[in-house]
Amino acid sequence: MKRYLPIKFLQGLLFLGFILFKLAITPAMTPEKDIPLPITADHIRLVALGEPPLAAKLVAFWLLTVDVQAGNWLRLEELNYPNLTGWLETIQELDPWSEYPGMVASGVFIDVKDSQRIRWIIDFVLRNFEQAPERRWRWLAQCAVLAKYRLHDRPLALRLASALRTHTRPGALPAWARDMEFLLLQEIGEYETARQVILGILQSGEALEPREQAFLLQRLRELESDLSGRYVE
Amino acid sequence: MAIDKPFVIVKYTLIEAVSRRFVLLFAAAILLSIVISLYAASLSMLEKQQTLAAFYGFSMRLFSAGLFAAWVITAEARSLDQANAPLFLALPVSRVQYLLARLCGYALIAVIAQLAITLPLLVLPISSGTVLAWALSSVCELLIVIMLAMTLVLIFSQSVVCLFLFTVIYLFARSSGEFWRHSNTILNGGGGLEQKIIAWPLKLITYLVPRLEEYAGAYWLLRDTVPPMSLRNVTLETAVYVLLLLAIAVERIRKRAF
Repeated sequence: MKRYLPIKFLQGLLFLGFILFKLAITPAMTPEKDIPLPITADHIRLVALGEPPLAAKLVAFWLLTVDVQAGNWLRLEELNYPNLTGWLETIQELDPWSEYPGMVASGVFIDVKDSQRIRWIIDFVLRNFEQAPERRWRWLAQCAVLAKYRLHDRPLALRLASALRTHTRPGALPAWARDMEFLLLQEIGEYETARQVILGILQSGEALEPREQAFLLQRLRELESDLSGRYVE
Repeated sequence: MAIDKPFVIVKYTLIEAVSRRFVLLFAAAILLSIVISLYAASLSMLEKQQTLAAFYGFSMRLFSAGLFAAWVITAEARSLDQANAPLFLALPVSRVQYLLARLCGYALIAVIAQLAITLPLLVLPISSGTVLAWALSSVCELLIVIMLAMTLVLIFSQSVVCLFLFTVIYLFARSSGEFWRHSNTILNGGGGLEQKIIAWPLKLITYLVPRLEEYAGAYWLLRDTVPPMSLRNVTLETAVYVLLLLAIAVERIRKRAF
């Protein structure tokens, strides 16, 4: 009698062996590595199949998980920030309408203890803001607050707050962001400059709510009395 | 009576798509695209719904082009190699009528497929005008894909060669604008002699392929906006390119020995 090969049994056995092999051999762990040098937007565009904004999204997804490597969490302090901001610039160039670079820079990557890295991010956010001030002001406003309270660097905070007001048209900013500059000036004793800023706002033609106008006028009176008191002394 | 016969071929093309499980495959592609786009949206910190729509549009466009090209190439290669085409040509239809009827059948499948693709987009917060423009533009791309696939089969006959050439042409056409800009920069003094030698043919090739990157952009769905004039340009380019390919295909089918 002809004996047939138990092919079904062999298939099952081989499949089981294959699964066991997969379970026994885990993938090699790659050593931790830093953020690589950024690729220019022009090069990514060549392979983006005509969809640079989507490529920007994919790069952003990758960048947000770059601190998880080989199954370990890297501290943000361990990442190369010049390369990081280079990638953020690439994303912005691929999709000028994207809010990702500003948001992740001022909301995620700025959350480090190293002041040098914070300043690096602030520089990026400022450069990014200057390209499209009215779309990207909120990220710079966030940085101005951080510069004051985390870095305790009032001159830097003032520079950012001043950029916020001067680079945007009247009415583009909410009152809290617009007023940041003269409040900081008042804090560091630059009363005359603060007075000039308030006068500038009042004379800019911006439509102000009655309460806003009253607040500005009150601040103006306070500053004028401070100034007259200083001259009396 | 003469109109009935080409209609039989159109009907045969539709039945073939169902019986050979092309419809099922397409449904699986839609499901896969939904899964991919849901995953992308879950990763996104901003504009989740728009990201979902954009990734769905992008992956569905790739899947449709790939599936339609593979389907048309394999079906036509089989039909021309085996007895189907000669059998149809035994009917009182000319070779050109056969070609046009097959094309109409595939175009009809493309329109139905595009309707199925577009339906999930309607539940997302994107204006119906944008979705409609995207869908029309996608149909135009599918018409080019179908016509290109048919022409390649009529020229080269072998499916593997046709599939390879289609992939190269399609991927190049999707980035042709970028290649054109890149080669232009090199030719206008941005590169050395060796780079210029490569840039010249590259620039020439960009004129030979349709500029598919202008079609049905995923960013239309992402930003809920359609670039001005794009639909007009897309329709015109499709008409010109499809007619050009059709002319080549007619010439090839007339000369073909059955």
